[in-house]
Amino acid sequence: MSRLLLLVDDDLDVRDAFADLLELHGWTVAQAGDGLEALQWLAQNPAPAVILLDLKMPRCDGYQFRAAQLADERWRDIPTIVFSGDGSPDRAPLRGAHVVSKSAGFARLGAALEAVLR
Amino acid sequence: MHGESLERVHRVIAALSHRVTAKEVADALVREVVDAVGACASRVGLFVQGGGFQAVSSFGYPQELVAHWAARRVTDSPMMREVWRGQSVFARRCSEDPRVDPKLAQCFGDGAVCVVPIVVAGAPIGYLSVAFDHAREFEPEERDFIHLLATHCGQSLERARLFEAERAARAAADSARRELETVLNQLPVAVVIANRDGHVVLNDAVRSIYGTQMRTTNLNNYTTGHTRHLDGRAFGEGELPIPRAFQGEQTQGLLALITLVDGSTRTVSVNAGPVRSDTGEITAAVAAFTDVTERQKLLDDLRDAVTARDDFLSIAAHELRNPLAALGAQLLGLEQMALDEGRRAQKLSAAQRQVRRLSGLVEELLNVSRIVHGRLSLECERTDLAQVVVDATDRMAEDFARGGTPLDVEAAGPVFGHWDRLRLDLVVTNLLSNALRYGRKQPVRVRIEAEAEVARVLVEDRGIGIKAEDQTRIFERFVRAVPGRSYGGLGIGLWLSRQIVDGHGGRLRLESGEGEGARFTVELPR
Repeated sequence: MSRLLLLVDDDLDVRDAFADLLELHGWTVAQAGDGLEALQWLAQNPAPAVILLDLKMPRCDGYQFRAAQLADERWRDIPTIVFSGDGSPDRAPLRGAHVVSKSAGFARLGAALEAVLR
Repeated sequence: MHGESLERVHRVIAALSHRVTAKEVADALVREVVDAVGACASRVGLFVQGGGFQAVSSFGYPQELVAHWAARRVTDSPMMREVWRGQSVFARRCSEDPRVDPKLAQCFGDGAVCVVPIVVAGAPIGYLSVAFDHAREFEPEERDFIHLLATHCGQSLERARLFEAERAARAAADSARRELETVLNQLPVAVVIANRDGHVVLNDAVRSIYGTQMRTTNLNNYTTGHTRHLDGRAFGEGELPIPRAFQGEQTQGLLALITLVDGSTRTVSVNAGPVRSDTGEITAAVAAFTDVTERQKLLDDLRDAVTARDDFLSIAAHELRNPLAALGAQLLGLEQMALDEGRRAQKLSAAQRQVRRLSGLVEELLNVSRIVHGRLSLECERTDLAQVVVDATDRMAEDFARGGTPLDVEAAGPVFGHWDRLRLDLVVTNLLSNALRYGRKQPVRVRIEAEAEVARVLVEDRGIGIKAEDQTRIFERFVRAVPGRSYGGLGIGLWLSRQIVDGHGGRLRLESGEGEGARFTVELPR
């Protein structure tokens, strides 16, 4: 069965490249260009199995999205992986999210996805 | 003592009373004595250290005798020895009295002489001598009179000595004060010396820091109100350095803000401490202020520059990671996915786009380094500005399309000038990237204007705009008007663009308002 993943990143190139790979590995990928789009998507769709979250985005960044996500009981338990160019983000406001650096490669991302779903 | 004697005494005392110095007292006395007792000579001398005696005033003695005495010592004469011990000597006839100095006897052979000690606080400090040109007896009343004069002389001399000592002390204090003032005024540090009674001494440097505000010499007039901590909190009365010094506390290197009468603010570093008397009592407080406004500003600027550089490095690393991650994922996709020819070409094109992004970022970083080290040299050649704009917009057309931002380019015909084509391409690309990044997907318009002397490129968006207060700042290095974690980019594009346009002798102008979009105009001399 296909698993639903929400990929939140303002970089279209990053989204395209990773969406292709994730789909190859059996994921159904929904995309959002910033935190605001992601929140709108969540409000209109069934909860995904996991959220892949970039931090640096216009309008509503990853920190703001995470705060809004945690404030809503429908979404607060969705496993979330912070997937950012910033290898050592401020973890406190991200509360419980896993962190994978974009430069770590797809294999590391795959391992993190397996880990959060286990 | 009968009336006539009393009158003589009063006359002599009156003559002595307004004399100020020892010399004046002695001069008055010897004359009054000669008059009062009908003598021919008189002298007042003082015993000096080492056993000598020194005339303060002589009247009527022959010069050869005065010169002779100058070299004599107390021990040379039995008469002076007795006086030195506190005894008076009365000689009826000099030539008959063995105690009398032979030289004196030679001059006053048949005359009488008396020498009585001048006593102050129980100790003989000098002598009063009176000589007569004839032999005579000294009646008890005469002796009392001469003793009385010697006693008054002693009191007057003591008063004169105290007066002179006080005058000398005052002169020494005045001189010390002038020295202190001169030293204080030479110091680059502002010094305030406050006495217990509130009187203050200030040096010139105080006035150069505080201006005319510190003309006052009363402490109470300036301690209140205008001194604040660096965070802006006002100092409490007990926190001020001078009141603290009066409590016996030292202040070392305290940084404070002071507001001057003109409203400007200076940063001062303050040292202060108490001044104690021999007994340890606090008599005054000294505070030294150094104006460190410039130093503090330099430190703040330096700290800001270091922070900006660190932020920049972090942003640069982050900016490089996105295309690198995308490139890695595209290559992995090409390797792992079974793709038809169309998809394969699409993925290759996406990978190439990431390589271009990376090259652009690296080029931007290198340009920063070149400019910082003054090595950005323009390579100007005959260049068509319209072609530069068309090339840049063509190259970015896909980015605009993917970002959902309409791009409208107006280029009527070639606009030639002597410019660095690659660097101008960088400027146009930067302005287009900004318009795309901050343009809120609203149409972006690019226009070219040409006049005889000048050519212009205008890049106009309808995006978030730039607040008036940020419009100068955004042309600085590593600065952006929005939070770095929200928008991509290195934060050097506008700075770099301005350096390049300035290098061409042109201008990069901005017209914008918050929420009203932005229009950047590149103006180049042709």
